[in-house]
This record gives sequence, C-alpha cells and structure tokens, in this order.
Amino acid sequence: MEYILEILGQIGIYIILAMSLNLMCGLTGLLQLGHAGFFAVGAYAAGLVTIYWFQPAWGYGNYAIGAAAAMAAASVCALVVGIPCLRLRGDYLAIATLGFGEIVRICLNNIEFPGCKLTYDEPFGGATGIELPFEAYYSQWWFIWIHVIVIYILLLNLKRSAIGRAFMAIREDEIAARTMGINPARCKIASFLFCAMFAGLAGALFAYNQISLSPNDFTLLRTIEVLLMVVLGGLGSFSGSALAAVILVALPELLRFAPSVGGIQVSEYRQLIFAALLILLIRIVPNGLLGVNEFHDLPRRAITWLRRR
Amino acid sequence: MVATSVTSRQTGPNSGMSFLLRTRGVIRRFGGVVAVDDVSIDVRCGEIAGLIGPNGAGKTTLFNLITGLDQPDHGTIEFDRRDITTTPAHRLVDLGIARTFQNIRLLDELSVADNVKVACHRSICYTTIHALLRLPRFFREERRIAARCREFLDLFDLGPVCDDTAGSLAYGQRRKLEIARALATGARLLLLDEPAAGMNPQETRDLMDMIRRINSEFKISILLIEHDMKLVMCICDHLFVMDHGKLIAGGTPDDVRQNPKVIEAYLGRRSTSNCP
Repeated sequence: MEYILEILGQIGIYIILAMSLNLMCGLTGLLQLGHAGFFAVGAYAAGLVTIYWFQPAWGYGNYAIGAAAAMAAASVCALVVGIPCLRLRGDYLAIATLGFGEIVRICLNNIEFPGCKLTYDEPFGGATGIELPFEAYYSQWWFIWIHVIVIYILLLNLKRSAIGRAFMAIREDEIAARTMGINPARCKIASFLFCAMFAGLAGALFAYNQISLSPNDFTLLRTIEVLLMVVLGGLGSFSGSALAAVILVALPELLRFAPSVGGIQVSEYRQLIFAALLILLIRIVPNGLLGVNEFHDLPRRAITWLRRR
Repeated sequence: MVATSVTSRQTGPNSGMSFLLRTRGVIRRFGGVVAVDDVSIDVRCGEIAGLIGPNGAGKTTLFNLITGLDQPDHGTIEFDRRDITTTPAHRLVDLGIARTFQNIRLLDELSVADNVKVACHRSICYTTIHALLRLPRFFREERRIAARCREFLDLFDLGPVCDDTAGSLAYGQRRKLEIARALATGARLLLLDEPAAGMNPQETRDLMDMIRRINSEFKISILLIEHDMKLVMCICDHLFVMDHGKLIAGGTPDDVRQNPKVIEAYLGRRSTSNCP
C-alpha cells in the first residue's frame, strides 16, 4: 500500500511537470529542454529555505515559504534565460535551454551549501546532495494531488482565455499573430514564466517528498521523460499530459509484476516491453492520446464522431 | 443594423479629404536589390486605393513596411498624422491598421471563432489573474468578444462553420475568414494583399461587393494589391503603379489606364475591360 501511494505521489509530480512543459511546448510551440533545470532550481530553493529556516511550530507554513521561494527562483531563472533565448527559434531555443538545464545540474554538483548535511559522500568528493529535516515531509500523495487538480484547473482556464489564444496564435503563425496585435516577445516570456513557475512548484513538492536531494535527480533524462509525456499525451492537451504521465510512470511499475510465461520471467524484460509499447502507441496515435482535446471535450467529440458514422 | 454596432472606431476628426496613410521616400534594400525605391503614396480617408504592378515590383514589401513587419532603410510612414515608421506590428493594430496576406495566414488548428477572437486581443480588458481565476470580468469580456465575433462571422456567412477548425475550410471561406479577422481588430485602414487570387469570376464579383460594403458601411479605407484588372479598375478610387520598386504612376483608374508608362511596364495593351 505504501508503495502504491509513493508511486501515486510520483505520478502527481510528473503530471505537474508534464502540464507545465505542455504550456510552453504544446500551447506556445516553443521546444524547451531545460525543464529539469527549473525543476532542480525549485527543489533546491525549497530545500535550502527549509534547511536554513525550518520552524517545527509553523507546520505547513514551512511548505508555503519553500514553495513560494521555489516558484520565485524558477521564475527568475526563466527571465534570465528567457529574455536572451526567446529570440531564438525552434531547435536553437531547445539547445540553449538544454544548456541551462545542464548548467544547473553541474552547478549543483559543485556548489557546497554551508551547513547542509550531505546525503552521501562520493569517493571523488564534492557536494552531492542536501538533506531536509525529516519533519519536512509535507508532500504526502494527497497533498501532491491537491496541487495537481488546482494547477490543472488554472492551466485550463489559461488555455481558454485570451492569453491562451495568444499563445496558440504564436504557435500557429507568429507573423499573423503580430498583425493581430499580439506581442510575441511578451507572450513567449509569459509562457516561459508560467512553465518555469509550475516546474519550480513541482520541484518544491519533490523536495518535500524525497527529503534528500541530489543533482542526479535532475538530469537531461528527466526532461526527456517529461517531454515524452507531453508528446504522447498530445501537444496542447493538458489532460493528455496527465494521462500520459499516469501511463508512463505506472506502466514500468506494473510490468514488474508481470507473470512468468513459459519459464521466462517477463518482468525482467520490462524496459524492452515498455519501449516497444511506446513505439506502438506513437504509431497508433501520432498526434498523441488526446490530440488537442481535454477530458471535458471528449463527450462532445464522441457525439460528433458518432453522428458522422 | 450590423454596421453601426460593429464599427468601433470612427474615422479621424478631419476625415473629409485628409490623408490617412502617407509614405514619403520609402526605401527598402535587400542586399543589392532595392525592393522599394523612393516610394511616396497617399491614401485618403474613406477611399479604396489600389496598388498594382508586375510580379516582383515590391508591392508586398511595401505592405510589410506599412504594417510594421519590416522597417524601411529610409523614408517615413505616417498614419493619421502620426509617424509609424518604426512602430512594431502589434502596436499598429491599436492605431487601426489591419492586413491580410497573399498566402492566407490563418491559425489552422484553431476554430474559426477563435481565429476572429484572437484579432480582438487588444480590446480585451482582463488580466491574467482574471483569466486564471475566472473572475466575473473574464466572463463579461468573453461574452462581449464572442458576440462581436459572431457579428463578423455572420457578415461573411461563416456563422455555420464557426466551430470547425480554420484549416478545414474551403479556399473561398479562408479568404473571407482572413478579411473578417482583419476587420475584427477594429481597423480603420485595411490592407488586402491579392484578395482575389485563386478565385473564380463569380467569387471575385462577390468579393468586390464585399470590399465596397466594408468601405461604405464600416467607413474603412482600403489599400489593396491585386492582379485582377477588372476588379482594380472597377472598385478603386485611386491607383498606384509600381515597377522594379519604383512608383511609376498614380491617379484615377482612367488616368492610369492611359498612362503610357503603365501600359509599357505592365498592362501591355489598352485595357478594354468593363465593370460588371
């Protein structure tokens, strides 16, 4: 049971990460590969704030301060990275943000935070992680899921407003968007800010869930995983991102319990099966599981589909 | 009536015969090519002006300079007596300049209604907070915008397809939607880049009526690029002819028709077309 709840919490964090990345990649059409960087900045900001100023009496107040610090730190990073980088287009923006993600990870690998208890000392030395006080375990699975629901609603509201329309207009045709009065620079920065802010919040939740943080939690692989969720769920569909996050986290775990068939332990091949299933899914639904639709669109879509039959 | 409720901006205070758009000595070079060479044109308030010329004459480049998508190397552009030479495109929408494109630029993945709603972007007054938390002002503004869009879509007979994606429309409808979208910005000057391209004669006639209606009912001045001489000669009050980046003639359609320079550069022979 504890194991399942732990996975549930992880799924929640991934959903927030995927939805926030979808805001930038799916809605605004800007490929960003530094998501793990913002996630790390959020996690470390929350972690350090809690390590230095933890007050047992404040309870969840510690969390609130940490989360605020996480979002602020990630937003500042987004501004610093975004203002020069958003002049870049397509692949170049992806490379620049990828660079940011790696810089963050390498910095964290080498900065020694004074007074922080290191989780472990690697033989080659260097600061490899920080450890939060054990009382700071605020991110129970339900706490994470409250965030998931609130952020989901906020992002949907954003998508179905003038701001969301402006983001999508930039994705579709930047020149047309400009001639309709949309300031692309401002919209891109706004999109980047929201993306980073929610990634930072996910980082804070992660910090209060894991207690010990290490730079190895924030590798490029994490960004790729999240991007995979965004693409699999459907670019521009927050519901799709959530669904894909559930599948991509739960599936490898479920495959652990696969029965042995004809003397072959299927669970040992779970990575292979997982990869094959992914390829199969993308073949079947190239636009992602939900395309651009959200959960609440589905009944209407189903009706129009049935009518056409 | 639709016209009175939709028109959001009146023409300027001295709208009689004053100039709405005025370019002076505009030059734009691309490397060694002078795409627009010392062009000065005036578009009066309330008129339909045409910009014609052979392919590669620099007409679209001039449009890009006027609409702020590109900046001239020399010269000035004035709109309603305000210098807009270096004003970025999205700010020109506030002043009242809107355009369509030669190769229609719709937001294909968005619905027809959303395409028009995007054009109302500048007139929406709620903040991100209102949108995120869905405060009452958000709903009020969205209702207002939706009603406004509906009017424009109905005007162009696009009401029945308003929930379809723009990418799924037929060619003629796409042209109409782009014009509807440009109007929805609340424009006072509409720049149309080859609106009749790819249309059959019937569609072209409908388009001419449409342009006249926009001009007279909405009091919107129009500057259009067009290769369809019949259309241009019939609906334009004033014509400008460009060739190799230079303005070679300007005047009423009849003047232009008889201008030997124009005949030589472009028409080739005297046009005998009649208005339908």
